[in-house]
Amino acid sequence: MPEGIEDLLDQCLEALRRGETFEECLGRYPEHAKELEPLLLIAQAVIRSPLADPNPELKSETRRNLPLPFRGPYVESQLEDALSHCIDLVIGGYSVEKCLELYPGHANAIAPLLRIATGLRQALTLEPSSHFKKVAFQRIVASAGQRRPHRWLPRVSWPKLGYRGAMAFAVLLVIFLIGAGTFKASSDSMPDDLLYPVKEFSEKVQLTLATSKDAEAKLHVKLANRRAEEMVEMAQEGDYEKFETLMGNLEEHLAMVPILVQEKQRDQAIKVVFQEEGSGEIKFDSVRDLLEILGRDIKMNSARFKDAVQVVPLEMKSEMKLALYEVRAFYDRTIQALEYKYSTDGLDSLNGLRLVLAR
Amino acid sequence: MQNEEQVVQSAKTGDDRAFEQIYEEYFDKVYRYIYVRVGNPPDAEDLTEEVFLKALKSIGSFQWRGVSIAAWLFRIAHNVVVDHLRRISKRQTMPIEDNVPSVGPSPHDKAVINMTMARLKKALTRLTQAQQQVLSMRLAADLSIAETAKVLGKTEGAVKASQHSALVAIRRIFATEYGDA
Repeated sequence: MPEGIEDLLDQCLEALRRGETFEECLGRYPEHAKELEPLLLIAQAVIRSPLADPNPELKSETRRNLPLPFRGPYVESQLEDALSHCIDLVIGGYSVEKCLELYPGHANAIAPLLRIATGLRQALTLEPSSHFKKVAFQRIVASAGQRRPHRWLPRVSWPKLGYRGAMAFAVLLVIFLIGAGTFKASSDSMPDDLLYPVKEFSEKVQLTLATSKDAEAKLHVKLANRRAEEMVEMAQEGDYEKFETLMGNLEEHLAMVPILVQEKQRDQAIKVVFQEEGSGEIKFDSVRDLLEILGRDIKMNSARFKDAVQVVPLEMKSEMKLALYEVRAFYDRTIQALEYKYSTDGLDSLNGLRLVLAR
Repeated sequence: MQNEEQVVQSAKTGDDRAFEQIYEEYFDKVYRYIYVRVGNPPDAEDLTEEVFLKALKSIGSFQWRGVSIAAWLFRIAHNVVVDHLRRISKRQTMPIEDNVPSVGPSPHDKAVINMTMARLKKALTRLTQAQQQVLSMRLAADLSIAETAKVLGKTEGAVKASQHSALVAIRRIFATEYGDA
């Protein structure tokens, strides 16, 4: 059956798609070459033109605007798949640009969404304090009631004296061994002094012997302040390692403050419910005191760090500036947590706890 | 975490160290997910602790079916958050506090970054609950599409669609309110 020009054109176009050359195709139909040539030239120009590619965003948008039954899943799901894959790659450390190269057809549509996703990811990167993690783990294991206390804080058994009594005994023993003068002198020592371990020991003893959770929280604030002073000293001496350790220590002290306040409030709620305390109200005086002290300390330490930036060795300047921001953030976080406990919402949740306990 | 299945099996038999490995692996992710949903650090801390306490108490009943333990943990977290939100539903809004890391190359750049972050967080709170759930699992807790789908009891396609529509919605909020896109 003789083939029409349309069939020959179609066969040629198919052959071109398969990779045949222009000349090879025309050579197969010499009698129609004159007629076929201009048609093939036009067809090829259209195929090669970027104008022939529909804008993927437009295509997707048009499909989205169609009545529901015609909104096939193909284009949508492809875009969503590409977006999901790119988000996974970005989470895994790929750059946004690298990912867009994998999906050139969707790049325009995906790029702004990926930028939002990476921005959000950055905005939501919030680490809980390492100290809280440790303390929470101990509480969880203890609350589960079926396991030993955690091994990183081995419990020393002092059956006769009790833990506090044992610590008091240990202090007396240390004072006896090293002398009361040395023990007192250690309070002014700096991390690079020989007596500093004695100072650390003395602080641990003070925390252990604190008579109440309020007193312990205040002591933590005081010790955080002491760490800030020592940080400035170490920065002036250019001791980066000790400077870093002290900052971690400062953060740990501040992180303990809201935890202790919360524990105290829970204890208080229990006492109020069981009428061990007559007023029937939960008091917030100690939180107000702590907020005042923290407010004063954050100002004092900010000023102290700013002054120190001018005098520390050159290599410590940027560390000092960074520490200024970080230490402020530690204080801010502690203040925010306490303000929440002190707020109406905090009171609501505490009263909620009272109601639960009273059932 | 090395060989998760083995670690989970050990934790089921009461091995503290094995449970600690799960705790270390997932604590931050669970915390971030909860923080995004409840909007303030003190509640996020309390609820994260509650999640791991429940996990420790019920890990004996966990059945390994080839799916990461993340799906199981986040299912607990999801329920804890839903209960919490129900309890405090009288509170109308729960803005996410601005805990933007206070580091930046210069005060001006820092201010710009902080402003953008604050706007992003604000936009996040205006999404539907389903969209917030998906974005917090994907972007705050780094869960995969499969894990997110498992936790939420949805198909992977539905999670992808939700993720896409959430990001488009944020883009629209930015374009409308701040003239950015």
